[in-house]
Amino acid sequence: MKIKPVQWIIIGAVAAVVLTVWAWYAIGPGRSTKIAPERLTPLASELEGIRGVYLYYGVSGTDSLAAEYRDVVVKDRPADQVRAIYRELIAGPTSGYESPFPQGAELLNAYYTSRGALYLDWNRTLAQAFRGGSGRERQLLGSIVLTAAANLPDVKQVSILIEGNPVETVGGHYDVMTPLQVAEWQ
Amino acid sequence: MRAGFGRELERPRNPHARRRAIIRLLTIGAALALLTAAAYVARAATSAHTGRPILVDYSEPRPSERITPIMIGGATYVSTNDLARVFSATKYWRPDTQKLSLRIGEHTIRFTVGAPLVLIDDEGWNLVMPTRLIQGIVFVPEPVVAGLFERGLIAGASYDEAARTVRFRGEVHTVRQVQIFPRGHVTEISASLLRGLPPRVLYATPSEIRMFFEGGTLDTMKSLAGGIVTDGWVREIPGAVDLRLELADGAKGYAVSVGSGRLKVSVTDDQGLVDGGVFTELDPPPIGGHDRNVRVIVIDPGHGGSDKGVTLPGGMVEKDAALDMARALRSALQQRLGARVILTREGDDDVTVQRRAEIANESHADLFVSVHLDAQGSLSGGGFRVLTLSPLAASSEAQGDAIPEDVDGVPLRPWLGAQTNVVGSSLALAQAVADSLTHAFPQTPVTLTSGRVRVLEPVACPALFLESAPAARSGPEAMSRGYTIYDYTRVVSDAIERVVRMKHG
Repeated sequence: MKIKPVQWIIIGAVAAVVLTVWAWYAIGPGRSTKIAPERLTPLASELEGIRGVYLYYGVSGTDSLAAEYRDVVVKDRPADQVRAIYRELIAGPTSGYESPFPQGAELLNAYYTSRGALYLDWNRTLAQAFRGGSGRERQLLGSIVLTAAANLPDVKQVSILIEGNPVETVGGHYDVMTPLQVAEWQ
Repeated sequence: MRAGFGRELERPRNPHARRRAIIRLLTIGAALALLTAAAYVARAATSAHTGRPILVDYSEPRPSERITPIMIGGATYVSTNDLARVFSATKYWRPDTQKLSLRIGEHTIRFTVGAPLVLIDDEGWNLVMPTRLIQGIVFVPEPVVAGLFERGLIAGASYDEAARTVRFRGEVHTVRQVQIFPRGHVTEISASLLRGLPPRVLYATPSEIRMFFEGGTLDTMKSLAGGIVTDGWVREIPGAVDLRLELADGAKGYAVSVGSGRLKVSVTDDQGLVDGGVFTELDPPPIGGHDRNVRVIVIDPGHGGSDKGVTLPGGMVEKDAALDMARALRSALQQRLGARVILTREGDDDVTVQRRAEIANESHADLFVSVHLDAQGSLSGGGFRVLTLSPLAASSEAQGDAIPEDVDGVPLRPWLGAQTNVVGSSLALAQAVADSLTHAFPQTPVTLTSGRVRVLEPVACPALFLESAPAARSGPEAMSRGYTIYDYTRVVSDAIERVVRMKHG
C-alpha cells in the first residue's frame, strides 16, 4: 500500500511527539538535579534506628581535633547507643583525619547514669598499645570526651575504666583516675 | 502524453480535499499541544526541584550549614535525614508499615508515608500534604520544621520562619567589652561582667599579672597594651576567660574591684599608692619558700623500664632521651642555683607516676620538673610544649576533697589537690619558660597549655611538665629549627633562674 505524503507527515508528527515526551522524562532539564542528598542511609530493621553523630578525630600535624559526621545504626537503649557511637569512633575516620586510638582498642561496656556521668570501660589494649606523647594522649581523651559531649548532651563527666578498673593514666601523662569534666574539654 | 498531461492538469479539484488537509493539520497540532500539556502536568506532579535553603546556625564550634528542601507537586518538603542530623534525633523506620519515627530528646514524632498526619507523643497533627518516600528517604512537608518549634520540642534553638533560619542559642558571654585606659601613673582595664563573676588572680608579679574568670565566656578576644601594660590579652580558654597583662619595668602594685556588673583591674607604678594601701604590692612568685631560697629541685625523667614512651626519629626511645635530658638539666640547675637536684630515676627503672610525686614531696622539693619528649602532632617537625596543672582542675579537686582537720598545725590536703596552692607560681614559671623558648628559637613552635597532668597533681611545690621534640635533621626546617639538648636546657634553666631571682617591684 502506498503511503501518501500527508500520512508521512502524521507519522512523523506522532514520532516527534513520542520522542519529545520520552526526552522530557529521560534527559530533560531538572533530571540531573538530585532530589535527595547523596548520603542515602540504609533502612534499618524496626528494632534499630539511624542516628547522625559527630565523631572527633585528630588533625594531622597538630594537637587539635575535628568533627566528622556519620550516620550510625543504633538501638533504643541509651547504653546501646553509647556503644554504637564509640564503636563507630574506634572504626576510624573516613576523611583525612587521624584516629588517636591504638589498633585493637575496644569498648567493652558503657554505663550511663541519670546524673550525667558516663562510664566507659575499655579493653587493656587502649592503654598498653598507646604510643604517644602528651599531645596524642590529649587528642585521645579529647576524642572520647568531645564525642560524648556532641552526641549525648546530658553527659557532664566521663570516667575511663580499663577492664573494669580505674587507672592513673592511659598513656602516662593525663589523669583519668578522676572523671574528665566535659566543660574543661569543650 | 499531452492528453495525459492535460488530464492531470485539468483534473477537477476536490473541494473537500483542502478542508480535510487543514482539519488533519489542526488535529495533529491539537494532539501535540495536548500531549505536551499532559507531559508537563505529569512532570510537575511527580518531579522534584530544590526549594530555598534553610540556614542552620549552630553555636560555636559547630559550623553553620544549609539544608535544602525539595519541591514536590508545588509543596516544599524536607528530608528526615536533615531533621535528624540538625536536631540530634534518632530515626526508627518500620518498612512493613512505612512508618518513620524521630526521637528528639524525650519526644517521639511519628510519620506515615502517604498520610498527611503526624503523631507527636501520640497527639495527632494534620499536615495537609502527605509524607513522601523518595529514593529511600522519607520527606516531610516543610511546615513540620516550624511545628516542632511551636510545640516546644526543640530545646536551645529558635526558628525564624521569615528568614528561614534555625538558630541554636550560644551562651550569653559573661565577660564583655574589655578595654584599657592609660591614666598617668595608673593603667586601668575595665570590663562588663555578667553575674558579677569574680576573677581569680593566679599570680601578680612585677613583670606580669594573670587572672582567670572561671566558668566565664568572652565576647571577643582582644590584645591589651597601653600605659604600664606593655602587652597582654584577654582570651577564652576551655572553662574560663584568661587575662594576662605584661607590665613595664617599675610596676609597683595592682588592685582588682568588682561591683555593679563592672570589673576594674588597675596597675600602678606609684609606690605611694601601694604604701597608702590603695594598691597591693606586686610580688615575685613564692618559689623556694618565703626566703626564696631554692634548696631542692626534683627532675623527673619521663617513662622508664617497661614503659618506653614514644619512639623518636632515629630509633631512640623517649625513656632514654628523657634521662639524658634530665641529667643535662640537673647540671645546669645545680650550677646556676646551687641547689641539690634529685632525679626520680637514675637508670632504666619502672617508677609509677605516684612514686615520682612522692619523691618530690618526701624530699621537700622547692621545684619539680618532669622531662618528656615527643615527635608527633604539633611536635612532628620539632618544637616544645610546656604544661602545668590546669588551675581549673586544681580548684575543682581542692573544693571536692578538702579536709578541714590539720595535724600539728599543718592543714591536711588531699593528695591530688597538693598542687592547688602553688598552681599560680607553676603557671608563672611555665609562662617564663615558654616565653624564653619562643625568644630563643623564634622559628620553632612553642605551646603553653594546662591540663590534668597526673604527675603534677600531687606535687606540693611549683611544678612544670616539659616536652620537647628533637630538632629537624633534614629538610628546610633543619636550618631554622636547629638546636641541641644543651641549647634547650640552657634556655630552660635561664628562665627558671630568672623567675627564682625575680625581685620585688
